[in-house]
Amino acid sequence: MTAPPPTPPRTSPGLRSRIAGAALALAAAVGIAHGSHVPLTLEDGTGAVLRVAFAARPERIEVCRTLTPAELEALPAHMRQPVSCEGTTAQYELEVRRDGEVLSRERLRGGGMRSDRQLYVFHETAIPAGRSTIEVRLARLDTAATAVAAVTAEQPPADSARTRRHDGEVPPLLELRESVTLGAREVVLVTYDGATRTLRAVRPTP
Amino acid sequence: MSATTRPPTERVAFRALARADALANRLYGWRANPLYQSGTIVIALLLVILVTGLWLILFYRVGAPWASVERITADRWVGNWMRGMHRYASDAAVLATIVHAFRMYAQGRSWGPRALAWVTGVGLLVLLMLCGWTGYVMVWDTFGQTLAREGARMLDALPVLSEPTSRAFTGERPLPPAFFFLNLFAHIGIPLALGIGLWLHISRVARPALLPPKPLGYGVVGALLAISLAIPITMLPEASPFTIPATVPVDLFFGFWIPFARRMSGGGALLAAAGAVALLAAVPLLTRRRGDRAAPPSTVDEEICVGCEQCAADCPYDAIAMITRAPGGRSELVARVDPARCVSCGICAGSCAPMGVGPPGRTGRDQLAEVRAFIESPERRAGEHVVVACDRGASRWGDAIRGEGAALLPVDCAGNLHTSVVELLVRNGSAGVLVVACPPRDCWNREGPRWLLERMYHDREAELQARVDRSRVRVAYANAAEGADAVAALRDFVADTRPLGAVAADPGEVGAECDVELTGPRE
Ligand code: HEM
Ligand code: SF4
Ligand code: SF4
Repeated sequence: MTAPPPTPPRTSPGLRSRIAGAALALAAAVGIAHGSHVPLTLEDGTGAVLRVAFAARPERIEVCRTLTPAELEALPAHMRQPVSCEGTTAQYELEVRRDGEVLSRERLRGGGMRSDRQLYVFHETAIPAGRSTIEVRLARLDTAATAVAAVTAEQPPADSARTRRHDGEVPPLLELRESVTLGAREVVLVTYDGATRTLRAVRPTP
Repeated sequence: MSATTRPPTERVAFRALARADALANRLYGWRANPLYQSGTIVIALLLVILVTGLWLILFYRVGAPWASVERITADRWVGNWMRGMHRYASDAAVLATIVHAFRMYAQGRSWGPRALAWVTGVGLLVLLMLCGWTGYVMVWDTFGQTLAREGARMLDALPVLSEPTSRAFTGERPLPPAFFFLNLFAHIGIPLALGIGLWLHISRVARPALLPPKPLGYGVVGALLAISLAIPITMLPEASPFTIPATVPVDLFFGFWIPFARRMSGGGALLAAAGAVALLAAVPLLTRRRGDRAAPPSTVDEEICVGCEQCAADCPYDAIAMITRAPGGRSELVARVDPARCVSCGICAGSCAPMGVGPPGRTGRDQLAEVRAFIESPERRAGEHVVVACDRGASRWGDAIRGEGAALLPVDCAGNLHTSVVELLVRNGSAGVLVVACPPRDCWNREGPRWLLERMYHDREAELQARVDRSRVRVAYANAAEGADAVAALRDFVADTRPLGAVAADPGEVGAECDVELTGPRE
């Protein structure tokens, strides 16, 4: 028996449907192309930005204590050092001002679980475009004496502390004061220059 | 399982999908309906992306990213066009992937053994987004920089990197070529991962459809060609750490999230993204049917199975294996269903001439028992037309069908239909049997209408017996929103069968080609 073909309705659309289909496909394609470039306003467009960003190695502080004879006795023979030292890193305060007004003030520690890695700073503040006097100050908070005091408060009294200087470490005090003129949506970057061990401002090159 | 017990959100999604499908069927015909082919369209687009990408890579320089892209873009007829194809195909791929995922969700194909396809699908979507991300960073224009900075903010929220990534973009030092090299490496590596992901994605379906039908494929590539010529790519300003663009033209398909992410902290944005991905990946758990709402997997009655291998050949999910029987059995091989792969689609019930396989309650024998009850019901009239229609398709238009004077026999899926059911209806005096299946590429069970046609007209096992008058049998297609088409097909069929006159009922032996007594559903 010859089988008649199945006759599903509207297997091939008529001319009008085809034209409408092609028009819809084209509209979808144009829609995709437009969706590919949708202007998005990221900034209000009038202000400028002060960006403070740098990495610096904090100063390392070693707090030392002379062990009591009893404590020494408790240690294995090969570990009997009369003085025990624990390392920590200094804390810093970063203050950012514009035309004398404090924009931010924060306490900084080294990175990593034990705060013994580089410290990183990255923050951006919107400032008005035009002329500004920018002041950035990074000051070490801990001195050997405060470190001893901090440790002594929690543990048996420490008897000495010393800061261990390495070449790459940030100096105890860094200050920058600079007048800049910024256009709308321009960024001034204040960063730490490890080579000269100073803060410096970097502006867009025209 | 009938569609009425589906979660409400899925039902709403399904209604929307059925309407959109109906419109696309009208405009393009079901063979070229792009909504049915969203998955294969994504693959076709990925191929376009691959070819144009290989061309673009010849001219890209990690040492001068923006300048090299600018040179490509300045070449109006080749470079710009290649960039346009590459970019618009990527955008279209995101859109088509979303349509494909929505279809799977709306059809309830997101749980059970399909969960692997779903979860790997989510992975594919994430990879696609990451590929676009790295692609835009490659250009190193203001949009690329925006993406890079947002990405760095999110990365920095993770306590894994010793140095914050954001530092790279502050302007303290020039971006090293290593950054662009790494980004390029990712941009090329991700498509390889996409390939592996795709292989996993379709690993549980038999005979996966990988490419769209030719007319549709040409149409998609043609439309891409047309827009990439008509709407050329323009260069955005080069990225600079010292100027902030007032507006950035964002590619919505890859950067729709930027306005939201910018209002959050890096950690918040990362958490939101991870949450969205986790929620998508959890859909198989959220949509999973439990208890008696979950249709049980198919089983084989080994006493009936004659080892013909047809069910194993037809199963759309490769869930049936033929294994060697113990010696002395009725055949050398016997079918065995892997319940972990079986989605309970029921296609095998229609494959088995002796009616030895199928999900419980839906085997050929169960179907015959049901249709006998249907025939014997007091509402039946002699010489009536019978419409057999899919539960999730045209049977939703039962009132309209009955309004035409025909009887409706709803079935789970027309692809499950055992041809003996059709024979029994014709031999019991029906003027004609019209099977209204869902359009082939719309089938929830992948291959139902395909096997149905072959069984009805092309002698595929278990074929409609030659003794059945084919002029009284017809197959039509209509989905849940195409009631008018179902009714139109019925009217045509009634008109065509009227000249044939009435059939004499001949309720002789019908059905299973085997020596097991057909007494109704087996336990
Ligand atoms: C790059 C993106 C994707 C591509 C190229 C793709 C392609 C495909 C292909 C070719 C199939 C087999 C279709 C068939 O022959 O029946 C398929 C099935 C499937 N896809 Fe995707 N897909 C993608 C993304 C997704 C996403 C994002 C999801 C969901 C979140 C998804 C969910 C599914 C499911 C559940 C199936 C199985 C359907 C079934 O078993 O009945 N896919 N996909
Ligand atoms: S019901 Fe049958 S055809 Fe469908 S997946 Fe299970 S074994 Fe395969
Ligand atoms: S179709 Fe039926 S008889 Fe053939 S192998 Fe499958 S279960 Fe056995």
